[in-house]
Formats: sequence, C-alpha cells, structure tokens
Amino acid sequence: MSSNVFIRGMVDPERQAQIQALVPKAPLETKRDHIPFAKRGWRRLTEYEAVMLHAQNSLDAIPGSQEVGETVQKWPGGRGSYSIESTAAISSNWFNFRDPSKRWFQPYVKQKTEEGQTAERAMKAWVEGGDTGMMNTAWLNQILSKHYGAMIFNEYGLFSAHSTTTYGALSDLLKTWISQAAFDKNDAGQMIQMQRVLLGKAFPGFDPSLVEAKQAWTQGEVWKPAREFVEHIWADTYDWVEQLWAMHAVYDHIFGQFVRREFFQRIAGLHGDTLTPVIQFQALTYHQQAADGVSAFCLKHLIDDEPVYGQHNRRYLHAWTGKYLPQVEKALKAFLAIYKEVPVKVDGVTCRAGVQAGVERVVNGWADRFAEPIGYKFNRNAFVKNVMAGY
Amino acid sequence: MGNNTAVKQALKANPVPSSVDPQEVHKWLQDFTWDFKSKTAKYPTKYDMDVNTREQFKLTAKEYARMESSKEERQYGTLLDGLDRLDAGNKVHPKWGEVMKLVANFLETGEYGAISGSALLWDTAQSPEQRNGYLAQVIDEIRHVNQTAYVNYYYGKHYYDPAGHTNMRQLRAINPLYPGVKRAFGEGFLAGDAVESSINLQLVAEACFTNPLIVSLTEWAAANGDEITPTVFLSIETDELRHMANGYQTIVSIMNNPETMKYLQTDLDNAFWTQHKFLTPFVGVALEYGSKYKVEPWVKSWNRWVYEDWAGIWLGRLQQFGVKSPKCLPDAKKDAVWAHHDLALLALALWPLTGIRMELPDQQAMEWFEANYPGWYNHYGKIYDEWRAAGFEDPKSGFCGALWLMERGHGIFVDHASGLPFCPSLAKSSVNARFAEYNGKRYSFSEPHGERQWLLEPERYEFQNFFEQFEGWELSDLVKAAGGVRSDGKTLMAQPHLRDTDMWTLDDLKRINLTIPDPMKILNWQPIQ
Repeated sequence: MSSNVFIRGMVDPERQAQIQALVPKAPLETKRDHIPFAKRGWRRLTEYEAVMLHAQNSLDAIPGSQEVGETVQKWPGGRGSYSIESTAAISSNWFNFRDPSKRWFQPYVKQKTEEGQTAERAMKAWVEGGDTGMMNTAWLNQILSKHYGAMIFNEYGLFSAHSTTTYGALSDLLKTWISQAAFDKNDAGQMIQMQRVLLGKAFPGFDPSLVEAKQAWTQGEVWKPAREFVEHIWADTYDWVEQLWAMHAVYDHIFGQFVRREFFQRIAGLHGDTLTPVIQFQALTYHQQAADGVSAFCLKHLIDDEPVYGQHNRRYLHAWTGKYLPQVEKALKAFLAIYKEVPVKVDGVTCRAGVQAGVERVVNGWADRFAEPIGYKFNRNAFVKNVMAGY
Repeated sequence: MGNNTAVKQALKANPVPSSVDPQEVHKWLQDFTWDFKSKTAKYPTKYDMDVNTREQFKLTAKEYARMESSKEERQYGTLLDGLDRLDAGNKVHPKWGEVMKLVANFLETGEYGAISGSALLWDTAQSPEQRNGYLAQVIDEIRHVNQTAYVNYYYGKHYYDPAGHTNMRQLRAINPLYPGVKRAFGEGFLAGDAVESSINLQLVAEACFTNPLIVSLTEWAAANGDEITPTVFLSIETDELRHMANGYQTIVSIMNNPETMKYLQTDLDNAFWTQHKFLTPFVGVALEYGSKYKVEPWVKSWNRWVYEDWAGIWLGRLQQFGVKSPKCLPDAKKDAVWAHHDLALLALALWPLTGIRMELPDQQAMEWFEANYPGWYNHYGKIYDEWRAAGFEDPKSGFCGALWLMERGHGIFVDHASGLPFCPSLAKSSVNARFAEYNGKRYSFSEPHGERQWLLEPERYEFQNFFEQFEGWELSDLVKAAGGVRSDGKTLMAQPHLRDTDMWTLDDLKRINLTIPDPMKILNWQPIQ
C-alpha cells in the first residue's frame, strides 16, 4: 500500500461520520430475499441453494437458464460449453435439481473432517487396544493385501469418470453434487490405502504397496468384468447422464454395495478384522448420498417432475439399464469367486445360502430403488442364479 | 533444541504405529492408476502431459477437508458472529457497497468457470497426483462460488440497499460489461484445449491477476468501511496459492516434449491479453470509481503485481522452459494507465443498465484523478462536468450520457474479441479500432491483438453482442424486463447518484427516449473522429 498509515474505514471515527451521514433513515429496498426471480422447484430453497442457484453463466439454449444470449468464447470448431447435446436426457429446467443431502461446501468439508477424525481415533484405538492380535493372518495376507487393495482401483476409476460428468453437468446445483460424489470416490480409495498403510505398521510382514493389488485388478479373474465396466465408463462413455446412472444407480448400487457391505463389512468381523467395517462405513455413507442424489436427479427431476420429456428420459434410463446390467451381473458373478479364498467359513454367512441371501438383498434393494420406478422388468431369480454360478 | 522439538522430531523419525500421516497415503497416489487400451482423455490436449508429473501440495481428501473446514469456521464465524454485531453491512461507504454488487457477482462468474476448467484438466491430465490436485481445485472453486455469492447474500441481508445484491444474476443479462466477464472468466477458463484453459485460469488469471484483484481489492474495501469483503476474499486467496502451483505443474508436465511446447508462447500471449482486456479496466473502475477513500493509483498496483511480480519474477521461473513475457505487455502497460478511465466513462454513460447506484466523480475525486493521471481532467473531467451541468443526476432532465456521446458522433461499439464496449473516438488506452466483415456480418475490434485471435479462429467468437441482442428495445422496457425495478414497481435499482431522494423511475427513464441502436448500422461502421 502506498500510504504509511492505512486507515480502516469501519473503525475510523472521521470516515464513519462521513459514511453514516449518507446512510438513509430507512432502507432503500425492503425485499431481501436472495434470487427472488428463481423458481422454487419441488421445495423451498435452502440458504445454500439460494447462494448457489443460477451462479452458472450459461446460454439461453439451456432450459431454465437466466442468461440471455450465448457463450462468448467457444471451442475450436465453434462448439459451445454447457451444451445440451452433451446428453440424450432432456429437461425443461436443468436448474430445478435439488440435492437431497443439502450439502454445500461448508457442511461438506465439516462432515468429511469429522469422518477423518473418527477414522483416526478408531485406528488408534484399534492398534493400541490390541485388536490387531485377533486378525486372521490369511485374511490379512490374502484378502486385505490383494483384494481390498484392488478395490482402490475400482474407486479411483469411478472417481476419474466423474471429471467429464462434472464438466458436462448443465446447472450449478448439479455440478456441486456431482463433484462432491467424485471427491467421495477419491476419498474412499485413499481411505482404503490409509488403512493398508496402518496394517503395514501393525504387521511387519504386510506390504502396503499396490503391486499385488494392481495385479489382481488388471489381471485377476475376480475383478475382470468390474474393471471392464470401470474402464468403459471412464474412457468410452461420453453422455454424462448415462455415466451417472450407470455408475451410481446400476453398478455401484449392486456390485459396489455387495463388495463393500455384504463382503468386506460383514465378513471382516469373522476374521477378527474390526477395522475394515469402520472404514467402509464411510464409503457406504458416500454411496447412500450418491444414490439419493442420482435418484433425485434421474427419477424425480428427469421423470416424475419433468412435465414434457419424462417419458423420453424414462426410455433412455431404461435402455441404459439394459445396456449395463449384464456387465454388472458378470462383475458380481466373477467377484463371488473370492469366497474360495476366504479363510474362515461360517454357516449362514459364507456358505452358498448365506452368500445368496446377500446377493438377493442387494438385487432386491436395487430393483425396488431403481428398476421399478423406470418400469424396468428383469427376472430377479434368473439374475441371482446367474450370479451365484460364480460362487 | 527444546524438548518439544526433540519429541516431535523423534516421533517423525519413528511415528507412533497407531496413526497414519496423510503424506504416508499420498505417496502411493501415483500407483492408483493403470493402463488400458481406450485410456485417453475425452478432452485431449495438443500438448503432451507427462503421466509422471508430481503435484506440490500433496493433500489427501481428508486432509484437504480438515484444512478447509477450519477456514470456513473462521470465515463464517467472523461474518455471522463478529461482523453482524458490529452492523458491518451499514458501515460501508455507499459507493463501495454499490460497486460490490458487480464485483462479487462478476468474480462469482470466474469462480464458476474455474470449476469446469479444473474438471477439464482433471480429465486431460494422466498423472494421479495432478488429477488429485485439479480435483481439489474443482472443490475449491465451488467453495469460491459459495463465498463470492455469499458476499452478495450478506450485503443483501444487512446493507440498506439490497437491490442488486439479491438479483445481480438476473440484472447482468443486460449489463454491457458482463460479456467481458463471460469471455475472460466464463469461457476463457473452460472452452478450449485443457492446457490453454490452465494457462488462462491458473497461469494468468490466478498467478497474475488474483493479487491485484483479490488482495488489493481488500485494502480498498477496508479503507471504505467494508470488512465483509476482506473476510471472504482473503480466505479465497489462501486457496489460490495451490491453484498457481497447479498452473506451474501444468507447464512442468508438458515441458518434455519440444514438439508441443512450441504452442506455449502463443497460448500464453493470447491468454494474457484475454484476461488483461477484462481485468485491467474492470478492476481499475471498481477500485477508483467505486470508492470514496483511495489507497493507491491502480496503475501503481498493476505495475507492481502484473508487470514486476508476474511478468518479471513469476514468468522468470518459466524462462527455463523458453517462456518469454507476452509481446502485448507494452500495450497492456499503457492500458493500465487509461483503460479503466475509458471503461468508467462508458459505465457512467450506460448507468441504467448496470443495476447499481453510481455517481460522477466529485471535486475531491477529480483532483485525485488529475494528480495521479495527469491529463485526466482535460479528457474525462470536462465531460463529467458538462454531464453534471446538463442534469446527469436529475430524474426530470431526460439526460443520458450514452445519448450525449452518440449525438456528438462518439460511437460506442462492442469489441468482438473481448466482449467489452469501447468508444474509439474518446479512448486514451491502447485502442486502435478495426472493423471487418465476415460471412455478411460486420465486426468491430478495439485493437489488433484481439482481432488477430478472431481472424485465426472466427468460429470461436461467434455470438450476438449487446447491441445486436437488444437493438430496437426502448431503454425503460429493457430495464424492466431484466428485473431492474424495485419492489414499488417503478423506482429503478440503478441510479446516477447515491441519495435517497430524487430517485429515477421507469417514467424518468422513458423520458430519455432512447431506443437501443446498433452503432454498426447507424454509423455505417465508421467512427466519427
């Protein structure tokens, strides 16, 4: 600054006297609602939504946009950003989406911080309380070293696929939700590795490197169809709504939920591993929030609340489900081969009936949540039977 | 060495095995990816980004959240606890309270564009560490949109004139200055090659202009009684260092391939000119014309931050990669003296379209301008005195600066490269007007650097400008349609003075009898000298 003495106007008596002389006795405007022009959508705007909604400067070709005109700079060749051609889905108002988790930046990072602190305390208590002594060695060396590590690549690949969904999303509240879902995926992979680093400290023979895990992911039969799905969604799928639906509403709600919840979380305890469930609880929460978001977006926003194009969107979601469900079935079927490597066998849990019950829980949960609302019919029994052939 | 330090060092050397330092996780990030046949970016770059590039700040997701959560608590605590009690919203000089309606909203556009720009880089980069860094920037930019918007939100709740703070996202649709923000920030950050976007966003806008924009602006804000803006903007600035590092690492990631590095200098030159064309005049107007209490002339801040710090020191670090200062830097330096005065003249001439209350420079301000920009009065001050005498502030006068200019043959054009208006016959900055015809349409440019960008890729800058969009609209109808009227249904949100008396209404605006023209037609696209 140029002057030797910097004067802050708020606390300087002379300046404040001058300023207060200009302040009128009554406000010049009594209406203080933020973005009063905005349509309410399906519920009253939260404070965050009022702050964020219509921040996007887009173009008037995007239904619901506040803009008049178009983008000023375009891509080489003349294609504009925020293009409605980026997806086959159509909305009468892309700005009507509301994230049911109501997460904006402040509560989002606060929640993640608390989760981080919880994990740190849990890990400390786990090591210092002597829980390490209960760990089944074969579970540690076979499952956690190899397959739990392979899960990192699953999460990382799905995280990577969100870059273009974030870019392509056509409104501000959508972009926020999608990028938070992406950040959660990145976090989920890192938390697995954090646990593996701790295992490397607690067990001198445990190698936290990812060599064996990457081999399982890239070359192993257990993960092959899952990897193929992730690679396709990451690199070969260009429609951002298709990506979101395929990832969160189909793949992760069936395959991801089974791997995290039915396998790692429920089997770990049988092997004296009380830490994995703690870490995976966070990933389960992240999926729940992503599933709530994709449900609000695809089912509510694009179908139920969509006055014109609901049927059109339903057809696309139906088609995308049909496109990806067979690959998800293959992924789950291949994954069930992991039970051959599970060291501790417990009737009712790792036996055929127990595993089938887990598959049915996941498949039924998915069918109720995502298949039924779009009228997608499939033979649940046949699906479960096909999957169980991998056991 | 104190005991405490010794203990810390011992723990670092032999960490307690029940804890994991985030860095112990981050060091494995490069192993998170794998190769497969179809693995390419969906938005590929003409450059060659090295998969082995590292990232400087090395934050894990949880560590990032911990750091940001702490900043959020401090910021919102200050705003909602400390500043509320001090009635901070009403301690601000009205000139500043008004200009923040534009500044916060326009910066919000930049932060929003940066979300997509960072997502583009996250797609294009192949190094997991770089992706991790770009992802953090995506989330940061969401934070910054929340924050800049919250400045408007906070003012809207606490300042005595919330009009404009609450609905600038609506009003900006007719603001002739807004396409300039869209060009530089809205699309310059995200519409194009990812590395080109990085150069615009991280290497120029953030590394070069956030210091004068965000840091200098907070000094001016505080001088004018505004403690809201510094609370928010300085918190934003704490993230910018990581973004500048992202930009540096982008360059590091492409340096190994001389075949593609040959594009860098041209992209840097274009990016600098693109960002400068908006930021240099706009920030200058905001600081000097939006304030009562001055800090230092904008040209001095500009020279220190842009010319010496960025072009000298920051680009000096990139000399090893063959990067030189932009060729257009001398013209930019001239603009730093005069471009904001040129833009202020047009902003005042077009005040009904801005959505804010503004006033002509008073005697004290005119003396300051003349003292710091010798020759200012003879060029601009005389016009303002004439406008004042003609009834600039008087709602019954029917006076409008834009008409005054047009009646005297001073055409206002839109620079098709920057999107900003300019007046060739009155500009003192580096304006060198050029006019062109392409595919049966006429275009105007304020100088050759932008014109060259358009000549090379005209399809990238194809859009309707303000005059083309609104030609034939009567001024009061346009303002009403854009939501520029207060809740009484007649008083304008924008005003040409700061008083609570003699406020202009729609009827007063109608009295001007101004129908938006297309100057390219009425002047036969030749300015009158």
